[in-house]
Amino acid sequence: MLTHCGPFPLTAMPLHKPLTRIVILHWLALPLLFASLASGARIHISSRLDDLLPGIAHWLPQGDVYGLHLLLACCWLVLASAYGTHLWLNRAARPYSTAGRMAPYNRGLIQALRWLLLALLLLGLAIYLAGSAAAGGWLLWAHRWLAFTLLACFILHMVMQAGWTPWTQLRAIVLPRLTWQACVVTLLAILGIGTATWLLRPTWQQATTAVLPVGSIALSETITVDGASTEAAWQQAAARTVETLGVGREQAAIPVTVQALRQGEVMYFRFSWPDPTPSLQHLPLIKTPTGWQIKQRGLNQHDETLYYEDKLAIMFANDAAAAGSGSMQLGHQPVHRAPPHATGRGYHAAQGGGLIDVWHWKAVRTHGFNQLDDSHFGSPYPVVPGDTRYTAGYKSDPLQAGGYTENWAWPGEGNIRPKRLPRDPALLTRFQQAKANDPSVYWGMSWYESMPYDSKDDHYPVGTLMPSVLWKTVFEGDRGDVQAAAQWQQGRWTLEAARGIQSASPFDLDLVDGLYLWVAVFDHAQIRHSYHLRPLRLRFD
Amino acid sequence: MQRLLPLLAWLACTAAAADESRYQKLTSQGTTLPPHLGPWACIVDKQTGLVWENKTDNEGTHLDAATYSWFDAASGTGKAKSGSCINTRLQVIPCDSSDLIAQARRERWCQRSDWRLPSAAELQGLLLDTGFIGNPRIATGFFPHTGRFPYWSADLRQNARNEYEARLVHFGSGQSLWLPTSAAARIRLVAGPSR
Amino acid sequence: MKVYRRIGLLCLGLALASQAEAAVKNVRIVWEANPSSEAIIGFSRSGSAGSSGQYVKYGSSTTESSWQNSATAIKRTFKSSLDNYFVRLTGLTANTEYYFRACDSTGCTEPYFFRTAPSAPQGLTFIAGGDSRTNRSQRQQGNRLVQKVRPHFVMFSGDYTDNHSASEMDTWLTDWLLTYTPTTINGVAYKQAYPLIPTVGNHEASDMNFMCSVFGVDADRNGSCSLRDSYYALNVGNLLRIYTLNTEFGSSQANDRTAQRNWLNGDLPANGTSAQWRLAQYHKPMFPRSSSKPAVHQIALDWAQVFYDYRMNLVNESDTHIAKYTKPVRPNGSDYQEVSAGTVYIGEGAWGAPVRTADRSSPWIVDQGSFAHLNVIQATASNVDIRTVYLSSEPSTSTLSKGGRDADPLALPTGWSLWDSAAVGNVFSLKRAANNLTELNESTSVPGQSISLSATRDVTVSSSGTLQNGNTVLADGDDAGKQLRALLGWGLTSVPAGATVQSASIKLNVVDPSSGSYNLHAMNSSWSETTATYAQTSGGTLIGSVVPSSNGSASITLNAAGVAMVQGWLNGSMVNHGVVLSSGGSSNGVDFSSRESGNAAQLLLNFTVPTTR
Repeated sequence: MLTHCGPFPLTAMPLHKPLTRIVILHWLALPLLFASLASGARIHISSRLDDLLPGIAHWLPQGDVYGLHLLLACCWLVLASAYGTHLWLNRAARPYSTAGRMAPYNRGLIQALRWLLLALLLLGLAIYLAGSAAAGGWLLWAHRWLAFTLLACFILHMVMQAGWTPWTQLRAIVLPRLTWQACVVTLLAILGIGTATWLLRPTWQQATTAVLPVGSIALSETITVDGASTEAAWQQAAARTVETLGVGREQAAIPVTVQALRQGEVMYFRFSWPDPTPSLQHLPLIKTPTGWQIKQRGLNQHDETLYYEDKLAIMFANDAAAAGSGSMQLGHQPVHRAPPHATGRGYHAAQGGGLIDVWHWKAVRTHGFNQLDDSHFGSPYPVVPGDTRYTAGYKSDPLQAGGYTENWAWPGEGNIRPKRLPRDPALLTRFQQAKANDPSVYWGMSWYESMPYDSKDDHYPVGTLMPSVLWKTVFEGDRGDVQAAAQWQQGRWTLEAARGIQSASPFDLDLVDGLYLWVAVFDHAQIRHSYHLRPLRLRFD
Repeated sequence: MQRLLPLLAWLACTAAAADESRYQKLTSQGTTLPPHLGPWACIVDKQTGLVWENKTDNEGTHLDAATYSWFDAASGTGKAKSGSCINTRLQVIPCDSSDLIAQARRERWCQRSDWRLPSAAELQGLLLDTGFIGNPRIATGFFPHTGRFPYWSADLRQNARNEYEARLVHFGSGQSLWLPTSAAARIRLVAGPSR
Repeated sequence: MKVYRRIGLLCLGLALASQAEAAVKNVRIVWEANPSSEAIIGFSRSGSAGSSGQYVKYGSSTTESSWQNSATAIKRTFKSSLDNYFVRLTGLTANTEYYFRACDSTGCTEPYFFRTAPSAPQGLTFIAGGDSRTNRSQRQQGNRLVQKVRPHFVMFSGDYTDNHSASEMDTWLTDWLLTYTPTTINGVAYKQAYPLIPTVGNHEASDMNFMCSVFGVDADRNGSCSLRDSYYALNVGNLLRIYTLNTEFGSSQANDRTAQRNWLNGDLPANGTSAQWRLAQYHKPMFPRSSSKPAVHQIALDWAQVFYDYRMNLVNESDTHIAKYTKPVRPNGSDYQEVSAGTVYIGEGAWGAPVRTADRSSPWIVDQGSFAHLNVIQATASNVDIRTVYLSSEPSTSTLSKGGRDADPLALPTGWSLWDSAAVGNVFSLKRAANNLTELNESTSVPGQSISLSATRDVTVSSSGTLQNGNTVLADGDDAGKQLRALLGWGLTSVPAGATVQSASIKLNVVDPSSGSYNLHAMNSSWSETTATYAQTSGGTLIGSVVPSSNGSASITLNAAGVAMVQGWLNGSMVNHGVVLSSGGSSNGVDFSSRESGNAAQLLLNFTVPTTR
C-alpha cells in the first residue's frame, strides 16, 4: 500500500529514494531560503538605509528581523548537517537530475547552490561570532553579495527545471508522494533538532559571548566621573573593544573600548571611541533676512545627520539575544497599528514584556548636568494623541523636573519663532566665533541666562547663530539616575558613567554579574547609530 | 502588567485615533491649526465645544508652573493673592484664580472673552491614561506642559468649619480632591458655556 | 619740612591704597565646626584673574590698627569660572564680635563684623529656610528679612539657584549680601554678617563639591573638596547640636550615602548629648507634603529611627516649597506616628521658589500651606519657639538694632506677618520633654488670632472741596484737575482687650483699577463722612502702599509704623482717626467699594492674646 502525506496522490511519476530526499530538501529549504533572503534584505535595507528595488521594503518581514534571520541560520545549519549526513550515508547513489539535456549545467548549478549556502552559513557564523564589523565589514559585504548570487543561481535553477517540464517538476515538489515513515521521520527530526537548539541556545549564547571582566576596587580609592580617566584604577582595568558598524552606505566601523569597575555598591564604566570631529552643535538657529530658521537637513523625518550632537547609547539586558536583546524592530511599521516610522528603519522595543535599560549620553543636551539621559526600551507604548514622534518602546525614564528643552515654539523648515533670547546679547558671541567642530564650544544656553522671546529685543544681525538647546537644570527623578561626564581629547571621546549596582527605579536593571551590554555610537546623527549584534557579558572578578 | 502592554497599546491606538480627531489646535488669534503644526495657544474639544487654555514653559501669563489661590473676585469668596504667578512684565507676583481669568479675558486669548475656571467634571473629561507613568494623564500631544499636579476647578463647598474649599483634579493620579481656597495650585482655564 | 610733608603724603597714600577697592567681593561667613572658636570667611574674585595674595584682616575690636592678617586664603574654583577664596579663622573667643575686611594685592573690601557662637548657656535666635532658586525678588525679600532680624546664624537647606551655574551662584552670593545689616560703630559704617550653615539641595546635584568650593566647608579637614564635605555637625554652645545632611546622594553615590548613614549612626549616639537640643537640616523631606513629589524619600527616611532613638528634637526640611509643622512623631514603618514626645519636622523651603500645592494630608500634621516664608527659631534651654514669617511682610518689618540684639538674644522685630497656623497660632512653641525629645508647649504657647473688620466710615474728599459718599470710594492724582483722596475708618471694639498686634493689612475691593502707586497714611485729625475736608488729609505718617492693578481684592500690608498705629488705637495711646489713601503721583485713579455698597474695606488684624490653654 502506498501511503503519502501530500495532499494528492502522485501517480504520473514514480517516486525514487533520491526524489524523496529532494522533495524533503525542497520543502525544508525553500521556506528557509525565501525567509532568509527576505529577512536578509530587510537587514540590508535597514542598515544601509536604501531600497533594493522601489517599494520592495513594504513586502519584507518586520519586527525582530535579526532574531528571525539568526533563527533561520540555525535551521540552515541543522538542515545542512542533516543533508550532508544523508549524502554521506548515500554516497553510492547516482546523482539525480530531471533537467534533461541541461542536466550537467543544472547539476553544476545545484552544486554551486550547495557551496554558496555553505559559504553563506560559514560567513554568517563568522559574523555572528566576530561581529558585523569584523574584517573591516568585508565579511558582511561578502555575505551580502553571496546572498545575491545565491538568489540569482536559484532563479536560474528554477528556470532550467521549468524549461524542461514545467508542471511535472513543480507538481513533484509541491504535491509529492511520500511515505508516512518519511513524513514522520522528517517531522520528528525537525522537532527534535528545533527543541535541542532552543534548549542549548542560552548555553551557546553564553559560551560564544565576549566577556567584560569587572574588577573590584577598594572604597578608599577615589574615582571622579569626569571623562578624564586619570585614576590608576582605569589604567589597570581590563578593556574590551567592541567593533561597531555604522549605518548608511559608508557603514564605517567604530571601535568602542569598554571598561568597568565596581566599588562597594557602585559600578563605574568607561567608554572610549575615536571621533576626529567632535560635534557640539545641535540644530542651531540662524537669523535669515526673513527670520530665524533651524539649520537642519533631516529634522522633519526625525533623522538629522549633520547639525546634530555626538551621542553614545549603552544598553543593558538580561538576555543575550543578538541585536540588542531582540529590541531592534525593523521595518516601516513593525508595531501593529502604530504610526509608520519616518525613515522606514524601524523602532526599538523590548520583547515579551521585558525591559532593556538604556543609557543615552548626549554631548550637548546633557552637558553640565553630570548626568546622562537614563532611558529604557519597554514594550511598545500606546500612541499619544497629537504626539508628532512615536518611539514605540523607547522612552526616557520618568522625570520629575529639570532637563533641557528646545529653543523654538514649534520646529519647522521655514521661519520659526525662538522660544528665548539671551539676557545678555554678548552671550552669543562665542557661537559666532566658534570654529567647525570646536571642542570647547557647547551649543547651549542656560534657561536662566535667557528670557522669553520678544521681537522688540531681537536686534541680532542676519547671519547670527544661536543655540537651540536650553539647559534648565539637572534631571530630577528616575531619568537622572546615572552620573556621567565626557571629554574629547586628541580625536577620541571618553565617557565615564556611574550608577548604583542595585537599581533604584522600575525602569532600570540591576548591574549584576552576567548582565549583557551593547553600545551604539551616534556620530552627529539623531537616530542613525552604529551597532554590533552580540553583546559583552559582565563578569564580576 | 508589562505583558499586557501590547494589548493596552492596541487599545490605546484606537483611543488615540479618536482623540486625534477630538481636539483642534487654535492660535492665540483664534485660527485653527492641523495637528502636526504649531505653536498653538488653545485647544478646542470638538466633543464638548469647550476651548481650553494651552500652557507654556515660558514665563508669562500662561506659565505652566504658575500657582494660584482660589478666589472669586465678584463675590469675594476664597483667598486672594496667595499663589505665585508671573505678570506681563515677567515679575513674580502673588495671585489668584481671578487674576488669571481677568488677564485671559483682557487679552481676548484665542479671541475668547468668556474664560473661566472649569468644573471638575469638565476637567475630568480631559483625563487620559497614556500608558506611561512618566506622563500626565492627558493627551500630551495637544496639552503639553501639563504637570502631574492638581488643577483647580470651579467647584466650591463649605466644610464643617464653614471654611470654603474648592475641588481639584489631579493630572498625575487622575483623582479629585478638595483643598482650602488658600492653597496654591495650577490652573487650566476654559472658555465656553458651563454644562 | 617739605621732606616731612612728602613722607606724610606718602604714608597717607599707602594708607589709602590699603583701603583701595579690592578685586574681591561677596564676603560670606560659614560655620562648619566649633563656631565658638572658628569661622570660615569666604569671598570671590571680582576682578581679573591676575589679582593675588588674597587674605583677611581681622580683629576683635574696631581699632583697625590692631587687626592681624590671616594666612593666604585657599583658592577654590566653582564650575571652572567662579574663583573663591577661604580663610578659616581659629582660636577665636566665644560670643565675641570680630571685625574684618577681605583683601587682595589691590586693596580691601568695606568692613564687616560677625559674632562667634556663645559657649555659655544663652538664648539664640536663628533662621532656617531654603529654596531660593528662581524667584529672585522673593529671595532678596527673604534676605532683607534676615538683615532685619539680626539672627545669630542662618541654616540654609539647599536649592540656592536653579541650574547651579557659576553665574547663578555668583548672583546668589551677591544677593546674600542683602542679609547683612548696615551698622555704624564709632562712626564707621560696618555690615553685620551672619554665619551661614549650608546644605546640599537637588539643584546642586551637578556639583555637590560646591559646599567646599563656594562655602569653604571642609568637614574632613583634608584640604581638598569631596562629597564628605557635604555632611557635618556642629555645636552652638551646649544649647544646640546641628546636623547638616545630604539627601542628594544619588544611585551613583550609594557608597557615600552609606558612609553618611554610618557616620550619623555613630555621631548621634556619641555626640548628640553634648547639647540640650539636637537639630537637623537637609533638603528633601522624608514625607513631602505635595503630590508633585514622591511620597517618600528613602534616603531621609533611613535616618528617622536613629533620629528618634537619639533624641533628635527639630528637623528643618525643604524642597517642596510649602510651609508645614508636624506634631511630635516617631517613625512607624513607612510613615510617622504621632507621639507625645518625639521629633518635630518643619519646612519645606520657600525662600524664592514657586510654591506648590500642599495636598498630602496626614494625621500627624499640625498645619501646612503654600506661601513664601522663612522660619525664625528661638531656642532656650527649655523651649524652642518657631515663627514662620511671610516674606511678603518684609517691607513692613522693623529692623532690630544692634543694641537691641546685644541686649536681648531673643529680641524680635515688629511689623511682620506670621503664619497663623491651625491650632497653633503665630508661634509654634515646643519644649524639651523629660526624655529629651520634643513635645508641644501647649501650656505656654500663645494662640494667634485674627479678625477682619469692615470699615464703619468712608468718604472721598476732593481738592475742589466736595465730598462723595456713594457706593465707591475714589483716589486720584488728577481727576479733571482735582485731586481725590479716600478716607477710611474702623471701630475696634470687637478686638479682645490686651491684644498684641502682630500684623495688620487693609483689603480693598477694587472696581476700577489703576497702574499707579497709592500710599496709605495715618489720619491725624477727626472726621466724619459729612464733615471731612481735603485739607486735613495731609501730613500723616506713611503706613503702606499699593498698586491696585486689577479688579478685585487689593491688599495693603501695614508697615511697622502702621502696626504701631493700630496697636496705639487699641492701647488708647493714639486716637483712632483712621487712614487716608492718596495717589503717589499717578493720574490714573482707583475706585473701590464703599461700605454703602455692602463690600466695605476690611482691616485685617493678626494678634495674640496671652492665655493659658
